[in-house]
Amino acid sequence: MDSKEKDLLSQFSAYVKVSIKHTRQQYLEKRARIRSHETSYGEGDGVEDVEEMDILCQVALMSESLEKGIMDIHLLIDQIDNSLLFRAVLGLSKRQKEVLLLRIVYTKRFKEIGAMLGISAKKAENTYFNSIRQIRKMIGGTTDGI
Amino acid sequence: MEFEDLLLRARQSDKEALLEIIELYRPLMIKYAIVDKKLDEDLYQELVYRLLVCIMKFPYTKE
Repeated sequence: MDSKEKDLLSQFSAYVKVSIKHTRQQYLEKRARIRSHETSYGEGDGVEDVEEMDILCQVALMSESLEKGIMDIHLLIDQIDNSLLFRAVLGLSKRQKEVLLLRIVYTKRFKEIGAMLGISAKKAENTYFNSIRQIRKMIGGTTDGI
Repeated sequence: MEFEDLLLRARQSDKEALLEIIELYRPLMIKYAIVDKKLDEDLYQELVYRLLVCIMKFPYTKE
């Protein structure tokens, strides 16, 4: 290989090397940019914390049981031995009974009850305390209550 | 074969000459295609493509 040939080879090699380095740089920058905009499905799928996730799972399960009629108002009524109280509870609306059942038998929080019945937590809370007040009134109780 | 001939043949899209040049520069491309101690095959393909572009665009004419 003569010197002219060597020159050509080294010039071409240098040309290729610079070009390859440049391509690599561009490729890595592009990849980093794509990765920084990627959404990881493992980290968060719109649910902020574990507690919220738990509630949603429970709501899903409870909604299924509501649909199938598994959640039974008798669970609440069976615990009552006072006939006046029994009548008072039966006199409540369906929604009130559901709220009482979820609160007392299933010991759910108002936030969860609201999510299950499709109402706000505040609405569930008001329904619960109104029901208690209504029952108290019907059985002639005092504020010391039930 | 002399490199000059090889380059000129590759420029005329001679498949054998192109493959020979790719073979010649394979170690260099593999070296630059390694990211985080792993061979990035997509990057390697990009580099092979870039080498082909270089062959065509290298400013050289036979005297």
